[in-house]
Amino acid sequence: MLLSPADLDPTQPLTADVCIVGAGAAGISIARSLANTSLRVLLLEGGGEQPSERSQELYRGEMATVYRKGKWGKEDRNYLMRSRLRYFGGTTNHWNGWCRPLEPVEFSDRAWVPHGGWPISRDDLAPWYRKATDVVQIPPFDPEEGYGRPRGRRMVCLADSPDIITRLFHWSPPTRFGSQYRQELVDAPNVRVLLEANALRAHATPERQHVTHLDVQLEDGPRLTVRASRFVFACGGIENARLMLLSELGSDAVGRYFMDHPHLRYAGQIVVGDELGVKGLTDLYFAARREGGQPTRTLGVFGTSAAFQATHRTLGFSAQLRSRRKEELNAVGEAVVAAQTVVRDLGRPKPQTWTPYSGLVMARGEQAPNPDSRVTLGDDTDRLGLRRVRLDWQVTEADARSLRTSMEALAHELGRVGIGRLRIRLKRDGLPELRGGDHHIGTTRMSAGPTNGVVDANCRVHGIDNLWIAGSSVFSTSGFANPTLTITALALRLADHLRREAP
Amino acid sequence: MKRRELLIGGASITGSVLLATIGCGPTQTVTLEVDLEPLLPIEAEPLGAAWRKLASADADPAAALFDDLKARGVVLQDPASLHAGLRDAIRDDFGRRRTVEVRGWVLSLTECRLFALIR
Repeated sequence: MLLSPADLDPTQPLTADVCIVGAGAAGISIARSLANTSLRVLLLEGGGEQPSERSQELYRGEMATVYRKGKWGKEDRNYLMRSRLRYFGGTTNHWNGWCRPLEPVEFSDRAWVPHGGWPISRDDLAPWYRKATDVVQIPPFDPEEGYGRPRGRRMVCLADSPDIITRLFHWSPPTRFGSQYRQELVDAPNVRVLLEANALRAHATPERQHVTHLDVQLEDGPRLTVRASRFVFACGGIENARLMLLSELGSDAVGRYFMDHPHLRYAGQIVVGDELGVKGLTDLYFAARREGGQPTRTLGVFGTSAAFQATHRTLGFSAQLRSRRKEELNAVGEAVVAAQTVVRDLGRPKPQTWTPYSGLVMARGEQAPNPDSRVTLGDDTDRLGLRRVRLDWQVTEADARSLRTSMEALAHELGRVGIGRLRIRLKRDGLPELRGGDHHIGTTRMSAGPTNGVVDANCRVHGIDNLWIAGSSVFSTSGFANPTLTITALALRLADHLRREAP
Repeated sequence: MKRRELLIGGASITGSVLLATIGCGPTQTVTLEVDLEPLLPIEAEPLGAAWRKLASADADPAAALFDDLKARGVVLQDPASLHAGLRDAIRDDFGRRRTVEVRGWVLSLTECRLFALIR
């Protein structure tokens, strides 16, 4: 049911078996999973059912070092405000719908990636990845490879290269969790949804081992106390850390290891030939697909293999092609195309006419976990009296080197198999101009112990017996894929854990 | 349809015709006809010129290309052999990372040598 402030008695605490703070992809997924069980579930959302400037303003914060002047290009001071949405459904209200599981290697301990991998494997998460595809309304991924061969439109995939392979994304419609699942939650007899309920601070026992209650401020209303047997923070990759810091809970790792996916919108230029039967760029990256009568879209990107990453000590990487009209080929591009064709046509009695295709390459990469890249509390306070966040997102030269090395591998593979040529627009050293992917990862990362992480393999905060965290903040590593599918899978897994462990 | 010529040998051609010269002596001159109409204007020459300015460039790209093709058993007078030899050499270059970055383009050493011969 949807609670109205009129239903509430501020002199009495709200009580629940499970209190979920935040109604985005994670919070809504957990609430749905616990619907129609014996558990009394309370889902708190700071925003309303519609966006409002007043709510969104609470996301304002301080950017410490998003882009370094003179080295990274222009600054993006609005990152904290524009990259997330503070109302029912959360940031799924504007996500693009790109879905792909993280790679198995990205879960593992990689000797060349500091601070360790996940305490769980991709296989451990596989059953919930499968369920998550239903939630975000996409077809399942191939359990063996994490991608399937697209049906319908022909797509040329690189699959047998030792270094570069095609990775497939499925596009969610995209599912807007708020509108899609609202009625389901309203109809569930054991779920109460309270909107415009701002979580202020969680209180714990003196030993900080048990959360006793949560202070909540209603918009234009009274302050409430929420008491629950178990609490789940599902406020997003930045706000989870902020609430933990405001509540003085968790280890020193809270807020550290912040990661996004560095995006290079123009990392290179590609020209393709037709030696593999590639008739155009779209053959390399796009396929329509129909599953269960519903058309879906599959997008291919180039990625580096696990073996390549181990050999060259690189991180996850993907390169997305973007079509460019033939007329936009510059002189050098023409030259490369021409030379390819001359070589191809040598000796043919009547060379065939063909059309060169050119496109742009957008690259994005994984970042290595870095404890100095972090969310802290700033000096300013918001209208609720809470300290705003200060984000110091750091991208290292090692992260940039990984992108460069991966692009070089892509160039070599395209030439080796005869698809085309790549022009790399990244310097060999220093940091390129880049932007984030608006993915907030790692600030309460999962770890075997509290030294380099905040939650355990079940997403429970180390050392606290009744507090769990959901969302991309628990990712130990970022991988290269968009996070929503993994957020949803982890949330569904956590819900099963909560249901199984219910007292 | 305009016919263009690609010559591999000691001859020279003027105008908008792509010419590659391999310094293999007058007895090994090869002439091939290639239809380049769909590809004009062809400006591979700037890439070849840029490569030649690199310290790593061959002093005599024609000789280097010839030696390489000869070592592969390519028969220069046989268009099919030449075509296959060049294609394989270029792909091998990429596979073995025998490449050069010229103005950002990652090119095989063989095709750099070929570009450098364009007049």
